[in-house]
Amino acid sequence: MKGRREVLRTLAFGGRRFKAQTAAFCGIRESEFVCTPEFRRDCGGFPVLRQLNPDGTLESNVDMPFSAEEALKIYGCMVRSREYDMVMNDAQRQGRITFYCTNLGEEAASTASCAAMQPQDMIWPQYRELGMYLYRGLTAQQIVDCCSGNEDDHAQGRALPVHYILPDANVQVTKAVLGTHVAQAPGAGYAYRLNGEDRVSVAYFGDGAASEGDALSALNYAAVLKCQTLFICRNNGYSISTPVSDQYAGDGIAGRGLAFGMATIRVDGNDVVAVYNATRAARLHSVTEKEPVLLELMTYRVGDHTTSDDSSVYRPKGEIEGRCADGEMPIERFRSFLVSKGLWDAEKDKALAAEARGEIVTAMRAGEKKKKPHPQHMFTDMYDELPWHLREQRDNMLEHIEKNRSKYNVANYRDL
Amino acid sequence: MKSVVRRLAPRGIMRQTRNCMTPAEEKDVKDGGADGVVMNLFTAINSALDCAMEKDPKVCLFGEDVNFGGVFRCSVGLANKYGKDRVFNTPLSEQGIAGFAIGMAVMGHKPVAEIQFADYIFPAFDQIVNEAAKYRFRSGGQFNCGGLTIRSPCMAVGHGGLYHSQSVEAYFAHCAGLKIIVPSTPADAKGLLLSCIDDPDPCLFLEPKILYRTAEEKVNKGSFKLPIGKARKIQDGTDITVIGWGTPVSDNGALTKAVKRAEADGISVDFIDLRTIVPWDVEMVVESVQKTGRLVVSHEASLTGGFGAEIVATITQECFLSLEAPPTRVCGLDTPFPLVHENLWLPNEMKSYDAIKKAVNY
Repeated sequence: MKGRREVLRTLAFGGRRFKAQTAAFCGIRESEFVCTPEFRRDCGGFPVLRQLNPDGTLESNVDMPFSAEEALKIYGCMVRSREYDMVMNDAQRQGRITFYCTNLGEEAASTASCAAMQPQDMIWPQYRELGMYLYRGLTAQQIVDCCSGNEDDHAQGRALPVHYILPDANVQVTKAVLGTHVAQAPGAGYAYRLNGEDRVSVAYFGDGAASEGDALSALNYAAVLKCQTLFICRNNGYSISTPVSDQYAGDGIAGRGLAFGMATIRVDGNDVVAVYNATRAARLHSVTEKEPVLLELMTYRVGDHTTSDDSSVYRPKGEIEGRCADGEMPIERFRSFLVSKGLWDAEKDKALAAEARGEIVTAMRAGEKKKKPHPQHMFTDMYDELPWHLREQRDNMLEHIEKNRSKYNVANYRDL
Repeated sequence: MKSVVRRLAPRGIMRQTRNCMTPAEEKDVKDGGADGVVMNLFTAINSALDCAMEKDPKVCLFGEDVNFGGVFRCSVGLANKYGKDRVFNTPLSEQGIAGFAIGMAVMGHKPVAEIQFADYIFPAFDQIVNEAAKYRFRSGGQFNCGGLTIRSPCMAVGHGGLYHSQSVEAYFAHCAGLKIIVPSTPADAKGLLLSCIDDPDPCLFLEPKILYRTAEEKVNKGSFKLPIGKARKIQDGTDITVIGWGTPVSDNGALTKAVKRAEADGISVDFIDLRTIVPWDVEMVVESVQKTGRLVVSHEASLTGGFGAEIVATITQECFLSLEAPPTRVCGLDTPFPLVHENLWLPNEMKSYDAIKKAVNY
């Protein structure tokens, strides 16, 4: 034939016959024509990065990636996360706060990943990243003030507990709407690329939030627009009562990264060392190559979804115990490692736990005594300057309260 | 119950809008004198974007098909001038556009995010209402996305049907934290868009698409701003207050034609283009109705829950003793926007004229 040469080969292999010629269509990877229909489902399994084994030993090719001081800082945040969780969860059961959300079992996922970032990296949390918040400087008192919604709450009592605001720490606000922040982080990552900054934006989200349209759209946007953004998915097995088997049919969240053309890694989320190394490498890749990275951290939600949930109703009996056994859990695993390195021991561990518990209990006692924010804060921070209709509503509301003081427990509010 | 009326100064009206020009001053600024060039609405928008991007490197423009010039040509030439990094296409996802824009705005940039048709803004509703509008509030003032401007073509175009004709201002007016602006002339579009881009709060800028080509006037080719929250008095009158926004109050709009018919009957109309839906210029409207005692509000959006209801409710409360007739609304029907029956569905010239006459003869 004249013009393009075609080479026809018949393979004995499965009886397929195909032309070894590149298909020239827009927007797909280079591929060949085939002449037998073949439906593909996946691209093969996605390996899980594990570097710190459940017995507390490192893989032979891995060194401790941080200093002893840093290791203890990370461990300290993880233990505090657990201790604060236990006390605050109890406080809700006692009616002292209205609501709480624990982070049990996921301490490594958030703390170690955050430790691998730089302070200037802007983080958009979901709501189960207390370790990250603690690493960035959230204090016990700030936790209690937020959960109590008292006058020292940075959000002025506007939001649910655990919706922390941490000023000047490059952490965006925790909010209840799921997945919306995942679509925002790429905008910041794009700005960093335009400005030539050594900076990434980070969005944490769970396996459930990953199903939201905003999250899927975000992956596409970040990849197409080349944003310096890290997407960190904590795949903890549950979205309230919905197990992952009811959440997706694909290969976890990592498979989606491939679909959107993004560098992707799956990591043992309970392994401090792997999470740290993977995040550090991802960050470097993102800033150097100026493109996003998706990290799927495989972990397990030990606690209930929140205090409004009782997971014993839907979780198979024995599942928690099974998942917590044999050094799988992050704190236990990292502790074994630290002890094996001579950096830690049982006595220090006991003391740290007691110290952490003391901090949160002290904060709770102080927080409970504080007043509620002044009702005018329903109107502050609405706009740069309050428009007429809100000024009017505010003034009417305050006038109404003034006329009905005895009906409104005004003593509970600061300066009312 | 305190009201805005009682806080007005005894003589004259206390202007609550900062940097307020007199009507004459505003006219001069918009016209541009020797610097004025005839523009239609899309060239005026283009000019505004050009001015904004030239002045501030943090301004960028993106959305579906924005790079080549946009389906309504609002961004023609801008990618060549400012580069692909600042004028770019996004993947087809309104929630993605809005979320991405919020993320940029939080980092201090001034993204102008285009939603190709207001009819398609609903996937972005969550981002706009739950995120952009509440960003400053829920962070206790630590963060905000005030640099965000979302612009979107809206309103009837003659052949748009259900999904290329909608007016969406009422959905968003219900959500505190946004500013919503609807221009009706090329000069207003340019000046108001420039104000939105610099405004410290997130703005929704809705552009009546039929005016892109049909509205034309001399517009200052340089940079100028018009005040958000300040209505425009199209003409002074004494018998009735007539208010609208967007296409109906444009030079050839249905409400404008109805007012001309009424004027020909000897009715003196105080005719107002609201321009900003949130926060709306209650002072101008109250002053007008206190003078005329009669009110007709018209908007293309459907009657029930439309923003006309908000205006009528407030005016009934604030001007009750001044009213000579019940305030009325002339609006789109409470059905989806039809194709073939568009002119009968809309608050057209004759419906508006009838309402004006009825109010005057009450």
